[in-house]
Amino acid sequence: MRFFLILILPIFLFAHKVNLFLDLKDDNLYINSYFANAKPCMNCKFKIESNEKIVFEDILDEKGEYNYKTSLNDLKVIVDAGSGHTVSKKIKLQEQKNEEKIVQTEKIDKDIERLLEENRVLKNQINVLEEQLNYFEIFKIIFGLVLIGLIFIIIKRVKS
Amino acid sequence: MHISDGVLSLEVTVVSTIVAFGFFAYSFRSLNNEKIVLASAFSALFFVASFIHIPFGPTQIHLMLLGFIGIFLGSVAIFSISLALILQALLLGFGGVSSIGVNILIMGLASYLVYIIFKLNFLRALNEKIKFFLIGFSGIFISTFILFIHLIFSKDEYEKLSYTIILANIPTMILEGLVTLFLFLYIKRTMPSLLKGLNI
Repeated sequence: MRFFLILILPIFLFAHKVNLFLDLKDDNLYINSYFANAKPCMNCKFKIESNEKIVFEDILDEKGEYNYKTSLNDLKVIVDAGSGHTVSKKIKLQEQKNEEKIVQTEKIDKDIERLLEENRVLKNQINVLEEQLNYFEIFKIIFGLVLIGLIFIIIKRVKS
Repeated sequence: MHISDGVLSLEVTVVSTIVAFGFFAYSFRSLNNEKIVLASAFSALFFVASFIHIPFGPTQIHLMLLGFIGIFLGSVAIFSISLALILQALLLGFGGVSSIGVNILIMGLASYLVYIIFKLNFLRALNEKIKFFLIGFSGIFISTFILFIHLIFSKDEYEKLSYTIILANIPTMILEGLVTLFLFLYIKRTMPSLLKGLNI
C-alpha cells in the first residue's frame, strides 16, 4: 500500500505545476501558460525581460494567453501563478527564410493580413495542445503502472 | 512491432485472436503465487521499456526485452506481456484494440518461445556472453518472424513490406541482444541468486 502511495504522490506534486509556451514571430510574442491539469493560467501575472531588464508587465487573459508586440529578439518571460508557483522561459527570434522576407515586403491587403493573424493564433493553439498531450503521456504511463500493480494484487488475492 | 487496427485482414486477425486467447488462458493457469510478483514487475518493465526510443538513422527503435522476460517467466510471460499490451492499446494507443490478439502472438508468444529454445539446452556449449546476447536477439528475431507470417498471410500487397520489416528489425535485434547481455551481466554481478534455476 505504501508503495502505491509513493507512486501516486508525484501526481499531486505535479498538479499545480505551471507550464509555459512561447512563440516569437513577426514582431509578436505569443504567451500561453497552463497548469498540469490543462486549465489555463487565468489572470496570472507575467513580466517580460530583455537583457535582465523588465520591459513589460501585465496579466494573462482568461485563456491564459497574451500577445505582445515587440521588436526585441531575445526575451525572457516569467509567469507568476501565485503561491510560489512560477515558471520562466527564454526565447530568441528564429531566423526567417528569404521567401518569408520577400512575402513580408509585398503589400498584403487587410483581409489576408487578418487571415494570417488568425492562422498564426490557431497554429500556436495547436502547438500548445500538442505540448499538453505529450505532457499527459507521463500521467498515462504512471496510471498504467499503477493499474498493472493493482491487477496483480487482485490476481494474487484470488489465487490464494 | 505493435500492429494497429485495420492493418491485417479480418481472417488473420480472428484466427490470431482465438489462438492468442488459448495461449493467454494457458499462461494464466501457469501463474502461481510464487511468480506473481515477478510477473507484475516484468509486466511493468515491458510497459515502460516500449517508451525508451533510441534514434537510429532516419527512424527510431525501441526496447521490448522479450527474451529477457521470457527466460525469467516461461509460459507466464505471455500473460505478463499481454496485460501490458492491453493497457498500452487502451491508454496510449500503442497498437490497435482489435489487433491485441495479434500483438500478443507477436510479442508474448515470441517471449515464451525463447524460453522453450533455451530450455531445450542445445545451446549449452556456447559461451555465456554469447548466450546472453542470443536471448535478446532471438526474442526480436522470433517476434519479427511471427509478424512476417501475419503480413504474408494477410494481404498480397504486404509481400514486399514483409521482407523489408525483417531487414528493418535487424538493428533492433542487435540492440536488444546487447541490452540483454549487459542486463544479465549486471544481475550476475549484483544478484546472482536471481539467475539460479534459469535455463541459461
